[in-house]
Amino acid sequence: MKRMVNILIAGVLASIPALAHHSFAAEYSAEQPITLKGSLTKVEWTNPHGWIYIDVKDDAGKVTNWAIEFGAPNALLRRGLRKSDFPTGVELVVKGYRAKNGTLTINGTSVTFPDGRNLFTGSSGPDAPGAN
Amino acid sequence: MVRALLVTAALAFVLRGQTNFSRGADGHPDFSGIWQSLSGADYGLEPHLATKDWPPGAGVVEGDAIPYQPAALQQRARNFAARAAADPRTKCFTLGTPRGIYNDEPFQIFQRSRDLTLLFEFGHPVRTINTNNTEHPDGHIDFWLGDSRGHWEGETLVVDVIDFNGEAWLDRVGDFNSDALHLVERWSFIDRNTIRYRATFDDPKVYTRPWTIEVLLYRRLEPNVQIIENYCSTLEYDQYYPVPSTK
Amino acid sequence: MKNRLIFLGVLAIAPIVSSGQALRGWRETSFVPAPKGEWTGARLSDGQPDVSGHWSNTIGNHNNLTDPQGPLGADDEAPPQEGRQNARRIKPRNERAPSRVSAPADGQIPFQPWARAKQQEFLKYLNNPIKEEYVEPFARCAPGGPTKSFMWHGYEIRQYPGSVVFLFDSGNRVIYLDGRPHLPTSLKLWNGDSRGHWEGNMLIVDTTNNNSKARLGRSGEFVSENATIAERFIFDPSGDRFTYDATYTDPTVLTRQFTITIPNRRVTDKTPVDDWNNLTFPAKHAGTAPIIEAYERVCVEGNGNHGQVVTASK
Repeated sequence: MKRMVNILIAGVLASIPALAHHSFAAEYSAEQPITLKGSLTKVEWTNPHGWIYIDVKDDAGKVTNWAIEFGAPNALLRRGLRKSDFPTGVELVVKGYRAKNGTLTINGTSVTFPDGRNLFTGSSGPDAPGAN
Repeated sequence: MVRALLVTAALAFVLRGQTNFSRGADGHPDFSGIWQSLSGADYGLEPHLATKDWPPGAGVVEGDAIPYQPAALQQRARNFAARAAADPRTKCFTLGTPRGIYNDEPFQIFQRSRDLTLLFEFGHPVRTINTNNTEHPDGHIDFWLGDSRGHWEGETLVVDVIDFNGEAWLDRVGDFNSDALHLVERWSFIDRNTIRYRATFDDPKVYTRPWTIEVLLYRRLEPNVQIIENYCSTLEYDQYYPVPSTK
Repeated sequence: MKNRLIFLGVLAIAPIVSSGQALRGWRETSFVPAPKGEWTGARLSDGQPDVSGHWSNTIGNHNNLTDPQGPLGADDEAPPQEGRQNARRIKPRNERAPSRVSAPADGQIPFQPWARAKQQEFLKYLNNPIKEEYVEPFARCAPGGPTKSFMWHGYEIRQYPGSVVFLFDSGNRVIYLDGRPHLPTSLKLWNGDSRGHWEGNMLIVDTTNNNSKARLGRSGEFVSENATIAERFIFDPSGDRFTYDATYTDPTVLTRQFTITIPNRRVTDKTPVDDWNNLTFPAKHAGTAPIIEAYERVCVEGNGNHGQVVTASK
């Protein structure tokens, strides 16, 4: 089962941007903040960015699958987040910024769980905390 | 009391003479050096005939067959069918643990008292085996290489490895483990240039019982031999850097 | 009484921080290069100065080689964080760190005109990478290169008789101290091929066989595969800081040599954990001595398609 899912993930990843140590602005637009509500379909605990995928239903009932980029798994671990916190189907509210190239991809800045827990998911920016 | 000490010292002297390998300042065997397997296990842990892609091999699994659960055996068959694209080796960042050990490219061990650092040529990842009496971190963490904590039992380094992400394969034919794998390795010299590497796989999600492999690792003896950088994941794009190549 | 108060302050667990307030000392705007001289600190059994452990540079990332704490074009602002003003407030130039290029005196890389034009082109398209070469290679999980590796997250030094090993987030370097010859010149590597020796408190390294594909930063500076690098790691007697100097020679790209200087500071169990300079975790063990350890450094994201390039090619 895991192998099949991995093959599917490989397919999904091939069609979305997945840069590693990139600048925020190379990939995402600070002018396009967005809030998404959806149910989790997949989690990829990769380094240097974890990714989750959620199914978002619009008012017409159409479902689209969005990719959300988080910070490094070790950084998330430090904030108390593990891969097991993201079971398939869990309803999440995710805030972030849209990818510049128009794909259904966001740079996630926070996630709210059904129990109200709100966690900063600290993705690609700031690139150098305290750079000023 | 004195006689017991003398006997012990004499025994230690005799044993030391018979096992003429390097030792660190802490008295333990020193595995530092560049090592390489000739087992062909990366092509298949179980016995296998030649294909157009690899030579035959007698296998490295004790008892010859990996004891898969029925569903897992089907998964392996699916892996095998999809291997050209699905083998994580094709991504070339790491082969994971323990595949990097018996892969056909060498790796280097840098050893000091507190840890062993394993630098694998393929993909150039680094695996740390902590030998400083530290324990696995709390909770399950998903690592490609696992979390390795080692201790000495006489002249054998025993390494306990957990915290796998279940993403790596064990060879090119699709043998695999899940994130529940508990691997126990035993490293020991059989002579100063040969290491016996044994590993026992325990994974209740995949296998019906634990099973063991044994592989010999040979020291690379060429003068000035060194691991050569192999970040092969860069091959798909390196022609664009530092400026696009006209070649 | 005063000593006890100080002791309590030191005993506090290092806080997790996600902004700059505890990072004083990790974003320096000026620094004093470490002086060359004898080493008076701890030594390893083979006589090397013991400099092993976790370290990080004290200036910042590889955004901008010649203005490392400055902006990188109008749209490089990091996203506003929840409940806060924009996280990156850029200070005036004279309140920012100097160029990482310490020589020549103007702080610029002495490019030949064609190379300067190329660098400007890379900079222009960094945030609009419509061609493959405009994707900064570090963003693909490529190794950082001998020098740029010191312009990112904290890293680790491990030492052995005959070698010094550097472990970075992406990539690693082995510096051989045993006098062996370099690899054949036709082998060009992302992190080069390094040979070094100690003189007092200074590790002197000669790095050849560079493929230079990592470039020198998001601002687009680069050298060619003909570059050779003379590096010096000068360790302060305190054992807590070292200065990295790298002098580049490359007649293909440059009109003369240049030098990059990067200050670094030791990361200990007392260093605030910020997941940038300090990525370590406390090791779990029965003893009382604090032990910090880094988890595996495997960068795996470089295998997808890349942003604008995918769009442009459709």
